[in-house]
Amino acid sequence: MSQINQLVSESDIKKEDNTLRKKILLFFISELLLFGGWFVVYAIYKNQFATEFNYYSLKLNTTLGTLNTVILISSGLLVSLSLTSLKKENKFLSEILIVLAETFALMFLVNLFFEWGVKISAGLYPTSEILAAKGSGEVLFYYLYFIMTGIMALHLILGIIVLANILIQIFKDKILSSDPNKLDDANMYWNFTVLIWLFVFPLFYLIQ
Amino acid sequence: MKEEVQNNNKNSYTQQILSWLGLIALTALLVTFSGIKLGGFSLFVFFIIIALQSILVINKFMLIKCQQKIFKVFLTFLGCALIVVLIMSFVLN
Repeated sequence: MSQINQLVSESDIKKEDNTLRKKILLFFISELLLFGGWFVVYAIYKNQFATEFNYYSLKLNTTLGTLNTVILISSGLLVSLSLTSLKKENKFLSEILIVLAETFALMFLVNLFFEWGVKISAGLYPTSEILAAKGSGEVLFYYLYFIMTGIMALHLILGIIVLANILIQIFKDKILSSDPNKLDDANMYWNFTVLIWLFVFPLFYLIQ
Repeated sequence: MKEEVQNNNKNSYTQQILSWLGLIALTALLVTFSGIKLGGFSLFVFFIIIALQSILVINKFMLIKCQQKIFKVFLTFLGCALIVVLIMSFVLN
């Protein structure tokens, strides 16, 4: 009888995992549509205002962009290593790596907001009167820059919240090395964000 | 048996750290090439570097081998779609 109960319980867990997986897949598809759409918008306007887009991308801080890329890649590694550690039953290392990954993500956000601050203080932000007085190419470039990097920042903030929740669950032994699916999903999400940044970075900072 | 598991652990960590080093090196290459005007060849190098970075992230960080087939198909499609859009943004120029 207890064996039957155990089998039923395992079957329930599998069903729950599959449902979660389907939800995550749907989420990824919606993300692809979101970012894909913005990439297409970028491509179209870059075609129309090629000279302006090239000129204003030169005005972005490539050093800060590169630093942020390195930071985000490193945070991706840390989350991935955390999953590997948990699978290898090294709970403590897994927790430390998640904390480090979150620290890196915060560093990314600080750098991004610092870069935004420079642009905002110069009046180059959406709805600014100074920007509105400038040419269409510059207005569109900065609109797209703030929207796409803003979406990235939102994704990272969401990722930090998700990882903090995972960290608490690992700490309370609610996520175990035998069933690390939640951390696996968080790792997928996090590195998906890293992947998107790997495309956003050259689009804004390196196409000149 | 235990030794084998430990070796696998080391391999897994080592592979991920090596992938990270590869990604950093590719980022450095990308930035370097952006400063050099090589015409059509530099675009080709750009696409190759970004494709390699995507492959590393999907395979080594997202651990695609351990995922369900639908994820493998989707992520391959995602990588291809993003590269096509990136190519568009260059080529349309």
